[in-house]
Amino acid sequence: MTLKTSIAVLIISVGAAFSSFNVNASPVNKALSECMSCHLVAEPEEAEMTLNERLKRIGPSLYYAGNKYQAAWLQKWLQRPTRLYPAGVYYGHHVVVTDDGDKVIESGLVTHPVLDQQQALDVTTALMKLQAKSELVEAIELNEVKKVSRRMGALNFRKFKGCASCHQDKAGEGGMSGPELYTAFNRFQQAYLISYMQDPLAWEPRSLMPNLGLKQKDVEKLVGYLKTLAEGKP
Amino acid sequence: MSKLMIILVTLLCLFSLHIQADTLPGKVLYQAYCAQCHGMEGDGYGINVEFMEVLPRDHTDRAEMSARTDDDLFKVIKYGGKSIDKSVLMPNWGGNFNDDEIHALIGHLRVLCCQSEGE
Repeated sequence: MTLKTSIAVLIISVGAAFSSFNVNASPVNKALSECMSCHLVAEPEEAEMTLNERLKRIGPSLYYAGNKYQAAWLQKWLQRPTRLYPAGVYYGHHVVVTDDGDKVIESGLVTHPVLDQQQALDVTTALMKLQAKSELVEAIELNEVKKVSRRMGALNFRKFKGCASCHQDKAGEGGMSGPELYTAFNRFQQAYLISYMQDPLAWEPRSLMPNLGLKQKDVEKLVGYLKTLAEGKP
Repeated sequence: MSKLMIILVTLLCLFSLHIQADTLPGKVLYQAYCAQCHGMEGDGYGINVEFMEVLPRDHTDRAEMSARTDDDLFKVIKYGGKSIDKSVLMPNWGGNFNDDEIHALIGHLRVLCCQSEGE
């Protein structure tokens, strides 16, 4: 091996080590090929899921999309995407410090591409097949979601559990750093909602959400409130 | 051959630095988890505060922060505001950080409150 060849081999090897993920390593439906520039569609090794990797993300992980999203919501949203993360998937990239407190710079936020009807169907079908972490949803006991009054639900969500520190339960009201939750009941599968609220780190080892140690009953009350919001109940 | 060795060692050093980037200094952790409420500069005016009824602690307040021991700070980060009779809006981060990371965060809090830039 010549010196030049040795250097080239070394550079390629180190370059490969530097790259975060080799998402092409596992076969992924070609309908998702466009998604990979912003989303993880193949499950990475746990050791690769570092905080640095989490902070670089532009879109949420999709490798467990089939256990997370409701297909009907997904198909509709892909055709008319709205902003789910008011400050992006990691707020730190979109904040400016002002005399009036920290502000989100909306111009830097990425807008999701709009898909046509067929593309949305193809992508939804492919995403629903991505079912990593099935064991987490299978472990959830699903009970009927009971009605929670908007007033009591809001009190619980905002004051007692402190969810509104990071999440909005009404457009423009609440925290900016987490995804909005006023459409969460229709967006997510119920088992995922319960599982994620109880143990976000089991889904994302470097989740920016804390594990509040919520019991099943606590979570069901919160899900009941999200249902109230989704149905527009008084 | 010696040139090759130099290049090899340089590349290995670079690679090792890349790995060490994930040893998570307090400032990185702070900006990832704490700044959303406590502010990117630690002044208590993060992007989430507009609708909060209790303002997050201003970590640049030397007097307030000097009154808190490292043990107090460790407890409130690990077990949340409720553990020291403060607001539930400060959650328990014990699941997200190991003890070393909490100590790194405390180190950064001491920089924010009590060291001028360059000090």
